[in-house]
Amino acid sequence: MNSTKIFGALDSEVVARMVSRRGALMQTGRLAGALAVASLPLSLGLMAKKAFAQGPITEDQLAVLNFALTLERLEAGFYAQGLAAAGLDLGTARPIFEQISKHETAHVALLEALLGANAVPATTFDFTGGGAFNDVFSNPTTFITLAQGFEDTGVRAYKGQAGALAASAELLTTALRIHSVEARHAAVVRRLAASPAEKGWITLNTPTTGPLAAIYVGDEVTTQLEVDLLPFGSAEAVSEAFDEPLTQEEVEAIVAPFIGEEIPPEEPPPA
Amino acid sequence: MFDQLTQGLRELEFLSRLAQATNRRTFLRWSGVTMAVAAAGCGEDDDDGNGPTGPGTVSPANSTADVPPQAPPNEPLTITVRARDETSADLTTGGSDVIVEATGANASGPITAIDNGDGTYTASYTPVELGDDSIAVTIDGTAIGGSPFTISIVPEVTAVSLGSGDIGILNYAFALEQLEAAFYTTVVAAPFNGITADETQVLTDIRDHEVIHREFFRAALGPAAIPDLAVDFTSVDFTSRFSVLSTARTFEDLGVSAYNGAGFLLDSADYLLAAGKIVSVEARHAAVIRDLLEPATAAFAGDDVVNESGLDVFRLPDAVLATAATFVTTPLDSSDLPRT
Repeated sequence: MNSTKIFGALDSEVVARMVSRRGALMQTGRLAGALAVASLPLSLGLMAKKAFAQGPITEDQLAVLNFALTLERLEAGFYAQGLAAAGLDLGTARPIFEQISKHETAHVALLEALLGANAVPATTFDFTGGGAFNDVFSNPTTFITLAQGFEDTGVRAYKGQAGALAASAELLTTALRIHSVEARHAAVVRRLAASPAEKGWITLNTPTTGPLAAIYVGDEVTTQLEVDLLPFGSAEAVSEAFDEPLTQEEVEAIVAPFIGEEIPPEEPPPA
Repeated sequence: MFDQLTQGLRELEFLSRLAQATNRRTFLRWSGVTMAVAAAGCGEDDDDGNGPTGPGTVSPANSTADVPPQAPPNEPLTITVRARDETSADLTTGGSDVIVEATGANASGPITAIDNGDGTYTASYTPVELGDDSIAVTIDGTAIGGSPFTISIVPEVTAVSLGSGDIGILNYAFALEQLEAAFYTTVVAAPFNGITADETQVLTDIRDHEVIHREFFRAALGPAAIPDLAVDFTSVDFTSRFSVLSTARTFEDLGVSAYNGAGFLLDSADYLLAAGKIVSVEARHAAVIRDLLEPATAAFAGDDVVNESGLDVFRLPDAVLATAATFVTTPLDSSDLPRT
């Protein structure tokens, strides 16, 4: 089973749900940009219309949304494949991952709807990270480690883009609302990690070694808006109390080992 | 611990001041002659279809009085009585003897209300003592409907203005962080029954984070910071795990929704980023608290807070402050906050 197939399965489900109201059933696997706003569920359609009501999305905003879309596709694909993997025993944590998977799939649909024809082409993924995580879909420990990495990266990535979306109240608010969902995911996944045991929040820049180290670089900050916070708590607590952003370049370097080939867009079946 | 002590001392100080104020014996000033431009009833009732002859004779039981639930001391307090007939139609002429008398914390003695000649009567007294007054109203010697009325004489508290622009939004966040910090400080100082080591660690960490957030806003706002707010957690049973964690869940979800709904109100990119750094930590708190309440379920990011598009809850300041007002007793004036 390859990633193309995964996305195909996911998206047709989403699309079917979206267009069911019109009684139509879209056969194509990809929620392509051609999907009209009118066919979206009410809330989604309204939001998309609102975003566009403020004028066309700027090139910079499109770039941010596409960057977010890439991360969401990565996450959505990761959880879908993990939940489908026969050899991966998630035990009692399965309902947690099912909820996360549901959200990531919804985020992909939302961003693709916002971007329309401007959405970047989907890619395949290599969740072994080029061989660093070969047992990701058979060893729950590895799966949880990667999930923690993706979620914490997602939180830092969205945070780094907030300013770029600030000109649009709707896009900014949408991004913030995705951002806090990623943070909820991150916290609960972190607490599933057994070795080393993790808190729900990021202490200093730990772990500073191992495969996730790059994700936490610079998170040990103890000064905010030029206010030295050490008088009010330990360095650990102060760093936990504020999540730091990552730049797009930093995030792209982190996820690069997992991004595969571009998938050529599928042609919709002849009507 | 220190915060807890400070908080406790502040409460004690307030209580002793209140006691002094209540014990101070002062003579009651009252005036039967007020220039009550009391909104005399305009006879809006459309009961005039009762008959061609107009309103009948006065019915004390159907008559009413406008008594506010609360009033400040040392200010004339006007009570308007509206006479009605047996069909509850407003009387449009005067002529009855209306007596108003306050007893309780203040004793006004019987006051003969001024006959406004249009079916309304006004009486006025000036309460001095704090506490509850019972207001008895009679028309021609018979108690009217609802009499006696109760009115609480409470000090007038001026609302704390959050301010305008970005400062207003930062003060709004500061208010919420004060609330959260005060809550977890109490929780950690007196843990609920049967608390586990993990729960102690989680709640202590969150307490530390919220105190740091609070002090961050206080320092960042400098002289523009609102004062310390009074909080009321009497609705929380701090011995009960469920009560504490449920309240924590309310506060964390409220905080997440508040920051998510306030981001677009900020002009400064630096403030927006700072708020973003905090909101994800609040979301982490919310998820962990929710997972403690309902372990290994979808509850950490449940469908009650994350919608079908995968978007977390967001609320505008007015909605957030309305919820927070359950726990924050200092009145907050948010009228100058940015709305767009």
